[in-house]
Amino acid sequence: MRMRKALPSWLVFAAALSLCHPSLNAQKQFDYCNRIATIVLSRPELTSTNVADITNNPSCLFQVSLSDAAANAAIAPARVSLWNALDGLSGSQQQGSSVASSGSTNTVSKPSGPTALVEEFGGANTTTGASSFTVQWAPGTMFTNLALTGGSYLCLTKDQPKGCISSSLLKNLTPLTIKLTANTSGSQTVAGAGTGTSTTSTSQPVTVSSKGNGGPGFGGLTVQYSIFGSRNKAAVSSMTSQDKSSPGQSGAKPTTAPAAVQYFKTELSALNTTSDGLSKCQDYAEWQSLATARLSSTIADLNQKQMSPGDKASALQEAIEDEYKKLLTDMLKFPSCRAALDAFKAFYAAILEARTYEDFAAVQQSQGKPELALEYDLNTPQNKPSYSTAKATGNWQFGKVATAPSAAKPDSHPAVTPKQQLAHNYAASQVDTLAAVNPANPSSTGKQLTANAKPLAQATALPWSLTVTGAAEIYNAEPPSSVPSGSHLRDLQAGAEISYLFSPSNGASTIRKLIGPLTAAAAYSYQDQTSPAMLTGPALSGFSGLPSSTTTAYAKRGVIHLGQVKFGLGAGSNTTFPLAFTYSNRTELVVHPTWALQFGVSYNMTSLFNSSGAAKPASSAGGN
Amino acid sequence: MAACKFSPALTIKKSDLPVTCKLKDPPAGVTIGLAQLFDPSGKPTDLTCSNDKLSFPIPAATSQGNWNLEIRVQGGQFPIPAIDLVEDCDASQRILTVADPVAKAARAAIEVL
Repeated sequence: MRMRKALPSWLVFAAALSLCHPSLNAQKQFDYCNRIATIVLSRPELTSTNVADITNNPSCLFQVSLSDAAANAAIAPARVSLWNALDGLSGSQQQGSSVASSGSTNTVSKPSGPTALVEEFGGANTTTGASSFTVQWAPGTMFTNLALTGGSYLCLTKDQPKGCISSSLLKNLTPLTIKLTANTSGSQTVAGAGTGTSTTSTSQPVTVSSKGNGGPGFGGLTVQYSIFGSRNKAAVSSMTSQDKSSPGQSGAKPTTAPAAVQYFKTELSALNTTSDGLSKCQDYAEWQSLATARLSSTIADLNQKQMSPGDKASALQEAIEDEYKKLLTDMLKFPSCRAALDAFKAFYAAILEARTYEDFAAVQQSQGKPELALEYDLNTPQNKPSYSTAKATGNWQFGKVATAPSAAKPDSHPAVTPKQQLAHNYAASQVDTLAAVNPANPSSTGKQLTANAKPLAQATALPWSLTVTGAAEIYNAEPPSSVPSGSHLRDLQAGAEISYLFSPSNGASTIRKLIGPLTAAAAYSYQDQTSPAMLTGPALSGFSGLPSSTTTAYAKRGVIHLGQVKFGLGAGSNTTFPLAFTYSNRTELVVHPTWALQFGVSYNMTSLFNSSGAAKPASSAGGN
Repeated sequence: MAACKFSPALTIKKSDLPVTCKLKDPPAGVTIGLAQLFDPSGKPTDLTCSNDKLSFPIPAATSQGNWNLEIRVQGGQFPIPAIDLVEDCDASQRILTVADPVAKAARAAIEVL
């Protein structure tokens, strides 16, 4: 039962507020009025204290006021906006192909990545490389966005409602990243000369003198799973399971973080103000006594009937909802009750803020923990034997957060920490946006809501990120016995990257603010070629002096030292531009030092999976 | 076991203070995040919770008059069940019930006589 006629703006606002919280996405995820009806059926003494006193049952009241689907769609992205914004700035996220692909701009793998499309040019560690196209898929992130923004259903109980996504599935999928890479160059040329003396062997040593392009085709498949400290898993756990732990609570000894207490104080203060306002509303007092009597009578009647518990709850729910509709309609007629209605709005805003803080704290706490991921790569380079990579990657983020965002608003909390203030600013900006929600243009509201998240994300993202990785690469087939030192073990690798996130300060120039956050990174990679790199197929035609019977050419093996300086433009936005300069003492095939430039463009598609399709904010994010 | 000091209408004699309020059979992980007494002007007084954060006293210093007792619980699996705050007495006098799983807060008007 929903109110169908147009409702006053504060009710639309209240509905919007309630949908900021997934557990309050009542139309799809939880029926609060049904729940209180079920409770009151078995405990009729709660009728007066927890139904007829609306300060003790705010969620059902807001559920009754839900009426505008457009308003629902407008605020849908609010829930995950902060998570997505923090994710976009995280140093553990990688956009682009694994090291082995033909165009990769990456020297070191990161533990996870967003759902994205990436085109890269250059190749960080390949001889025959020019460009590659990578499709990244992070199923957990994608489904969480769908589930929490109303695009799909988050399960309440096992398999209910039908077709729903369970929170445990989301949590287990979130650490997973899958990448599919295609080489996109149009032709291939590898030039060199044979250096062997044997005219009978099908394998010949060669000296490769120049790099070239790889032909178009399948480049490889990467599967990553973060097995420890997954930041996304921590965030999803907070946003889907909820309330399993609260900030500051750990282990057997219960504690309450000072920051949490501050939010609780705000909530209780708003509750008291609402209660005070209601005490001055004559219509409310009359309604309380009448509603208690009517509902008590209904409960007594229902408890005497031969009905299923579910049917009884539904019948009582309808009666409760009717009572609330009467109350809301009557209160609007009396000026003495308007203060109470306004106070109720502030009360629910305070509830939202407390919940926002809990989510924020969960994401923040996960940022500082080390993350460890395992990775498997199937590499199918052009004109080379295919091989597999087993890799372990660790990432640690650290450092002091940047300065407060320019969107900071006057402090309404006494003695709050800068982080508390930032979280407050964020919640306040969400509330302000929702108060002005325009049901006729839900997309614009969605964009604004996500824009509100960006200042908090920028100001609280840990700037330093250290990534270390170790890998073993194995040929999928035994190399020909005619290749000296050829074995299944292709090479061993180790690498490290340190990066820093530069966020524009409050006093930054307009141009600097326009550029937005950017990252700078330095990386080193070590590779010991235990087997020679081999070339097969058409690539052999580029070599002079090879016998016609040659099927495999191999280069002199050695140790590869590779250093890279890399810049990431557009960090935190949907479109990012990695730009890298790489030096190596040699490549897999070419034995002399090389310099190379790599660049790319990556489009993060996560925001497309919000139900409203709202994009991430523009670089001017932060205002209201 | 002490006799209950609150009347069913939640009035209590000042001479009966302090009185201890506690969560009745709270689910695992649920504790009191904050308990406050509000005077008629809206001024709050924090109440000091026990070490296990499951109970708190309304102190003897509480003056006569009308008060709003409010608590905010924390923790527990969503949705938390209806949780009673009761007087620590053998009759288990119910003072208020936290039933809203999002707000996780509830209030009750009490009067010190």
